[in-house]
Amino acid sequence: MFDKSKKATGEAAQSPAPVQPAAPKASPGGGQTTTIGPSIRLNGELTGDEDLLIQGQVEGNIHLKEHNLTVGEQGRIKANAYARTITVRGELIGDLTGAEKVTITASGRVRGNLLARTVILEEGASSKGSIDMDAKAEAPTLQAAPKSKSA
Amino acid sequence: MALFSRGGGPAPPSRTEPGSEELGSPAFHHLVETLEKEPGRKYEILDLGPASGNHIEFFSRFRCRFHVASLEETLAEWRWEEEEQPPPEPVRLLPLAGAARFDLILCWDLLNYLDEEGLALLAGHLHTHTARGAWMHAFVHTRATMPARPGRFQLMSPERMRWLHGSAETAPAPRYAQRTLERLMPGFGVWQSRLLQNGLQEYLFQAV
Repeated sequence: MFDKSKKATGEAAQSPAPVQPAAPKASPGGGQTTTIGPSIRLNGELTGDEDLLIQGQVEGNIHLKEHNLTVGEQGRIKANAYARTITVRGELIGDLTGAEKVTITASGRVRGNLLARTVILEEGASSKGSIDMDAKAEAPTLQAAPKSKSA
Repeated sequence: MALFSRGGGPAPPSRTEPGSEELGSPAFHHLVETLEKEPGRKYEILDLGPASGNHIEFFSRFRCRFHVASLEETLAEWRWEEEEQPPPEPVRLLPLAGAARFDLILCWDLLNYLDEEGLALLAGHLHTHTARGAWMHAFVHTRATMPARPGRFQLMSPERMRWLHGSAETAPAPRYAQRTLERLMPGFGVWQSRLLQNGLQEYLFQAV
């Protein structure tokens, strides 16, 4: 949909991912968080039953049933993503569905549509696309992020 | 054609901190009251400005789909060195394919940063994506100079906004008169126009 700022897509992405994620770490909620490191490029379907932090490059679809997805500052994603909560600190092109919440931080750049009960857009976040605020359909509530000092 | 009226590109980043000021927004207030008259209706709203949590929070009072265009960012990223080539089609700068027809378009002060040709192209493009009776809200500078970059507008209430200047540096303002706007945007008629104390003219257009 938003066809600009495409950088370094290339065909270099490997197929079904000889991914060697870092060892899972305990997440704040007590579960496991797996990290896809900055040197990893993954092309394909990504599903899982644990929280995921992506610092590498992912193309395809991401489906984390009841878990949390974080796109780290170094993460570069071209994918539609579904997760319980989604936090974007890096770059993402695709549609995001958060069962509970989608957050785009000040360093995050998103090109795509957002759907979640709660959408948080921090001051300085870059986002192009639509946000559905149809209270009758899905009862989404939207929040602004806390104001920055200078605003 | 340069979409930015000062000759083909965004102004350089400001060295000093841009200012801000509060302003009343009577036309915007009227617009909000009008939208509130149909609480069950789902609105399609296009914000030409950058993504703003404040705007999203404000419009979450309506059933709506809120589209963020960040048009200034798109224009700034455009490869202006290729300016001799044919100008970019508005549809490439603002791809709206698949979007529903908009009921409201929020321009903020962006129109001031387009030259006449760019403004006419943008208005024509937007008109093809609006239903008859759709609203368009905009601020137009009436003083000789304006901040060199488009500003941001924080909605404090339906009748008050905080205008965060885009730059401390200034540039000549095109000072579009109402007649000029009507000539360049034949698909939109002026429904309400108010001159604000700080020299901004607040416009509420309606698609015809």
